[in-house]
Amino acid sequence: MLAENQITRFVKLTTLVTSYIDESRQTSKEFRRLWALAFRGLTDLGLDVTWTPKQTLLKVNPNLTVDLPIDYIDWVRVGMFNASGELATLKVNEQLSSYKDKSSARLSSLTSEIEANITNPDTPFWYGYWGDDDYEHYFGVGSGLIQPGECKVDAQNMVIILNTDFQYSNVLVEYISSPIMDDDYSVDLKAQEAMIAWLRWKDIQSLPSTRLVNLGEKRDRENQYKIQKRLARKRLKPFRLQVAEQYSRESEKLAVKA
Amino acid sequence: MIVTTQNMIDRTRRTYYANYPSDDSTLTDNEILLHINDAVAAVITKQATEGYQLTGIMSVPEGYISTFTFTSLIKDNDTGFYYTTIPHPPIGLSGNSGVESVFFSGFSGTSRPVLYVSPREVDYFRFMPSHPMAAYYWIEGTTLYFFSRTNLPSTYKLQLRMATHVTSDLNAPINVPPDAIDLVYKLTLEKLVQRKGLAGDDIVDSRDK
Repeated sequence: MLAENQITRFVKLTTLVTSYIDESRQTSKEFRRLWALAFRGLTDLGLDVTWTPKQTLLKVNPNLTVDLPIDYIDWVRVGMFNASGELATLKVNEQLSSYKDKSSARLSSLTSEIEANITNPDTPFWYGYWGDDDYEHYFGVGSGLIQPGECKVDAQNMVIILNTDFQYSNVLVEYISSPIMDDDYSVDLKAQEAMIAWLRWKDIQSLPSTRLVNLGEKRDRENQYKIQKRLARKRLKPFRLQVAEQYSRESEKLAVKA
Repeated sequence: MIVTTQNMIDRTRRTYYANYPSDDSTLTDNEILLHINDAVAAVITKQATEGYQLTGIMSVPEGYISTFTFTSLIKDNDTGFYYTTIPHPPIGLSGNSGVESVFFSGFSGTSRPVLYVSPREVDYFRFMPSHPMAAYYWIEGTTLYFFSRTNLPSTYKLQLRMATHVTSDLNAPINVPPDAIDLVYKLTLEKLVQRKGLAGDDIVDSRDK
């Protein structure tokens, strides 16, 4: 349990707005306007820096699509659990058709008139190398990763489209979700200064340059915001020697040089 | 010495008549009070503007601030807005600095500030992202409106902190910082002396001269 007056990991949006009002020597009469600006800043920072992706396991529909969660904003990874409990990604295939992807008759509507296997040299499980009982290499086809299926996200219809011979009943989706407010929105402590810098900038951005602020001031505040945003990103994803060493060692290998 | 509004009235009258006024003097307390009120409002504006020029911050000196409590909060069923009547329109300083803050009381403690909405924002503020726990107020003349997403308990009171140039108690200390009293006095006298200097038809007996 946190002690009284202990700094918490998250700061309320109201606290940040009030901090800026205090810093700029304005009054609470500006609170409504600044809170609306901060809300936009929350989205700007959230999409680029602060919102942490969450993972959810979703059922595959009989028509081989997956309904995206209601709080979906953008996807990060789509895949499934492997035997080690990791997320094994699906191959992203932008050629998968979104035709009738909300319909239960999707699969029967996707009848191909082209001879089978001419456009799809892969089996569902292996790409490029695997024949019936041995490996073979198709000329001009990249090796690809070992991936258990294909997908394409149709954000407009809020579904993930899977390949027509997808074999599994669940898909693990990692996605950016829209935040839910309880009594107020929260901002990560590491992005606190970025949010205040956003308010500093947006507070004056739309003022005519004849009133109190000049173009230089606006540009300076914009730059400050960008610097603080970059700093927030570094704070949220810091450089860790342990991880760097790991990448460094794993990238060293004995291999034939082309 | 603490100066009351009545002190200011007596002082002004004595100067105006260059002595104690006679029984038939026509300059009434109410007329002088009217000029004092106007002078206080003018001095508030002057001091706030001068402060702004020095600091870049528009604010009213504390000496002019009063807190008013309103228990009668009426809900207009047509609009859904609550409203109450305030003693006078806020002083028209830029940045809407005539009103300092509005908040609720009537329970243990006070609420967070009721958020200010300028009259030009009233049409659209409810359709913008807004703090869901907040109530909002705006003022039209002497009517203070406020918008709350929930019904207010009948025990709630509204507290209004604002710069005021009027008083209901002539014997209470005047709401003017000591350094500004002389300015209020001079402005009041200036108006009265102008009035005295106007040419008139002196056919009525016992008219002030």
